[in-house]
Amino acid sequence: MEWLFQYPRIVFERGTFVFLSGWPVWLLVFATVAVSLALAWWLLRPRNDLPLPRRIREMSLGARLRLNLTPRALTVWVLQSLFAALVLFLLWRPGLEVSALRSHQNMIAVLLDDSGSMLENDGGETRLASAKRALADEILPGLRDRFAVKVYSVGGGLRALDDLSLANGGSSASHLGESLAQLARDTSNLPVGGVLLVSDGADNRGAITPELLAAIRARRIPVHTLGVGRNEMERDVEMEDLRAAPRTYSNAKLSAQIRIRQAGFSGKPARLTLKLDGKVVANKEIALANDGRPRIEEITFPAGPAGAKILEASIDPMEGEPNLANNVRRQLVNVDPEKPRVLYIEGEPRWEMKFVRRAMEDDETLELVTMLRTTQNKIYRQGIADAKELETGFPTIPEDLYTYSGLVIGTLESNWFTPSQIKLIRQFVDERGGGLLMLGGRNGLSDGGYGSSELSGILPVSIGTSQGTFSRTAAKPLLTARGEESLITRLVDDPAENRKLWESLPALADFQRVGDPRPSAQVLLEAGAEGRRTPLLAMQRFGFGRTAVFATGGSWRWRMQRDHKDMAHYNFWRQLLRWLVTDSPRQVSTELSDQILLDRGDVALTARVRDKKWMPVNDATVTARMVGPDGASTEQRLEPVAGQAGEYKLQANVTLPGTYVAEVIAKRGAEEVGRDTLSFRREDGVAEAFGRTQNRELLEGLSGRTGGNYYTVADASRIPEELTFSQSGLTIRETRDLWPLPIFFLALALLKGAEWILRRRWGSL
Amino acid sequence: MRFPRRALLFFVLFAMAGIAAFAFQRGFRYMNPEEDAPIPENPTERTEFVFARLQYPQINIGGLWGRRGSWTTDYPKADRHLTVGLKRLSRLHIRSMEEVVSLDDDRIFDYPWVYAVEVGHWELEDAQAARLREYLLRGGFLMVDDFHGTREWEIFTDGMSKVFPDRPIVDIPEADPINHTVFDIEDRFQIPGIQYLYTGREAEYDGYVPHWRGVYDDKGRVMVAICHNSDLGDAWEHADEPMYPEKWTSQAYRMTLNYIVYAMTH
Repeated sequence: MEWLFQYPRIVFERGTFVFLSGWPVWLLVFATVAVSLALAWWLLRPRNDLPLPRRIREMSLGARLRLNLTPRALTVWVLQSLFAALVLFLLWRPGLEVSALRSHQNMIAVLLDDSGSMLENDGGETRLASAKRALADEILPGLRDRFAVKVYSVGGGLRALDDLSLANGGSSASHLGESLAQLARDTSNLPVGGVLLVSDGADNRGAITPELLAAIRARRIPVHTLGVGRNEMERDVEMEDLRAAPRTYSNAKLSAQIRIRQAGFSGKPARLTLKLDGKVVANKEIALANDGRPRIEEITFPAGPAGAKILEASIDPMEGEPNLANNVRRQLVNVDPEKPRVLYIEGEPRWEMKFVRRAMEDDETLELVTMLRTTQNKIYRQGIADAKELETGFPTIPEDLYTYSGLVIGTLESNWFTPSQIKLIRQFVDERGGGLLMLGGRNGLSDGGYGSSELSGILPVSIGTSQGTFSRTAAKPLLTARGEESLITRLVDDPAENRKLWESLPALADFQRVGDPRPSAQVLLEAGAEGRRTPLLAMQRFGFGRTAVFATGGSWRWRMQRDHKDMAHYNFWRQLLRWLVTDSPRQVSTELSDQILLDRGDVALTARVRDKKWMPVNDATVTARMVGPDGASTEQRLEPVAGQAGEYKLQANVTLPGTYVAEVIAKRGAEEVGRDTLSFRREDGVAEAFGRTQNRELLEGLSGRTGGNYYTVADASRIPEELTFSQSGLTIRETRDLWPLPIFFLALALLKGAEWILRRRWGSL
Repeated sequence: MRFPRRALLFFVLFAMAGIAAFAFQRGFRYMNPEEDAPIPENPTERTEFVFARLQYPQINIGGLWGRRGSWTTDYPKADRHLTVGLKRLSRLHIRSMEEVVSLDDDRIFDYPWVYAVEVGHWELEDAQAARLREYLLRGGFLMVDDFHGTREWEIFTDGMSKVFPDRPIVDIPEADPINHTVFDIEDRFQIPGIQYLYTGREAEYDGYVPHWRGVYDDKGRVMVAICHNSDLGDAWEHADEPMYPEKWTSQAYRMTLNYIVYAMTH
């Protein structure tokens, strides 16, 4: 059918319709109506044999206007009017204006997924072979005729691929998000006309974040995706994904996101079990989704005491299900024994501090240290490790402040801090990766002068410089849609019950008006007071850390106004402060390339080492002591990574299946800088059970959100031409005539042909 | 029948002495409180802290002793003097006017700190005791003051045993944080009431030894601070009385600020 339209579909999708004749459009409308009326007069006028002058003289006006409205006459009139209208339309020279890449002046980046799942055999050949064939035979030659083409392999990072044969599916995961981010960075000064990602969408460990999508959209680079691999599953249930935070603090609340896909069991009930270290933490019956659609479940559970733990999600075998190996997925969770410390400072006695302290007293996750200015010159300290801690007041040097992972500032005017302390707090968030929470109060936020301080820019809401924004008026906490999804505001597990609980919470004793949230901020709670809603709890990431505003000092009423056994207030504060320090890095923080190694033993450990001022340490000796499942211990050295300050890497290989614990220790001479413990697991004989189908949803979503198209291998021949039409890179505006389109000539012939056939059949009108 | 003249004189003198003695009892006040302590500036200001005075039912015992003491003792001058002092001494954002709260409704839960005076004369009903227990378990703090001797102690503990049948009243050690939040108070001497000026006695009844006691919660935090055989309320109230010793007033203000800051941090 495409020959009828002459141009590819993308031209019609992207193009802007114009008339190229230059004649006014109103004239076209006028002419069309006039011709149609003339035809009406000619075809529908009353039939008699009198000559026109006599007819006019002898017939009454009514008789003259009485039209011959027979179905046959009307049909012919419609056909002739349409014919005339189409001819007039073509005379006006309809066309499309479309933005197209300048020939040979733009770069097209082709990203070929080199992850292990591309070696899946989909009947005859592997996905990788199919992708290579499509690239070599149909795509790359066509693209190279028009553009500069750069081919990369995706998997374990972005690597230039000079020869397609070098892609062998040897990477453990595709890391699509990271690769696209790296591509965007590396090509920031190049005219990139588009990206073609060739992938099955499976084994993707790199999150495609909203920030990444925003960055790509900002450059208007369309990411086209070519999906390889079959779309349909056999009769099967697959535990497609299990995700939970890989490390957390003891007894913290964890959330596991589980994706289940199935074929042949639409709507059937299935039993989902979640175990932590062999102990069942959730067991429930779910209804499976329709074929090809994922069922997503989220389960929250306590992480329990410190240690490396295996989190396992499984679906009980379905009746007649042949492949049971993909019904279970595992992940490791490292529950950290070390308690992060949070410093909370108040400028005057407040009930909020008392009740926050109480909330955190029984919390085994973190330590709360408080400073309270009781009189003009006295600071009352609580939770300090020894008498020396904070003895001289609020820290003035990084070494002292950076021992905390989180900082809470209450009602304390900004000029109580010195300018260098304010700068230090900003660096605490930006560079050290700490969390900053600012509370409302009569000397908090804008009333405390923070709107004109350096901290203003890092907060998730604009606070301005207005005074009198704090009001001791009762305000109702209102859960937002974001808040319904957040673990911070999840006071009970069931979402409906949680909503009800928030609706039943007493009003806050006070609230503070703040400005609009920043684009990257999330607002979890709003304060409803005086007939208005204003952000109450907002948060965002900033630099390596995170910031939040809780624009009140009056949540203590949730404690005093509810039964003494009620835990809503305690749970809220525990979850808020845990969030504040989650991901807050330590002096030695280590990342693994993979936590679960499926049928392979290669794993990369990357350690980042910083000193007490959080400056990268380049002269450290970093070793990893790994204890395997058989109890055998090995010690290996991590080597500095060129060009990455303070970063050390080890490419290790393990042979035995089972859990490994790695302790990474960094030393400077004899002095220990820090240490980190983490774990990973090798599982053999299960990889081939997963990822049997293409993750089309991911690929379509990625292309759809960036203005690209999704293609299958069968569409490969269209790709070179269609990639021409892009708004990124160096483009020109092209106009394409529409009048020569065969569809129009066919329509003209059909209209006249239909009239001719009808007239032949009827003999007369 | 005629009274002998000497008997009549004796009767008149006896009656005058009785009236004088009765008049010196605290709580026997006919004055309008507002005349004694005018309404302060900005009395309805919304503040973080409000001095809440507990209204409770008085024990029904006849005689002069039974008529002395009630929740209104020293009210409102003591409260208003104290707030002025606390404003000057600390960064507490405090309302200049006190608030009277009762155990008969839930309004008390908006005031996590409450002061009860002359608790040697209280008599709590079961429902009131239950509300006070819930108030304390939620995080409220009660300071009791100005009751003296064995008999008043027993009446106070009768009430407290209704609130907490299973929690002991214990001495607060000197090292407890409640004595060190703002001021380090190491010497906790007796703080006599204004009666010292008329009688010259520091103690009332058999309350010669000051006791600084408390009821603790399960986490080791003071929920009820008990000032037995001392009268901090008088020391606040008579801070402007030239004859009343300054050291007692200073000590009372320091201790109270410590207690309040403790209540707001523990």
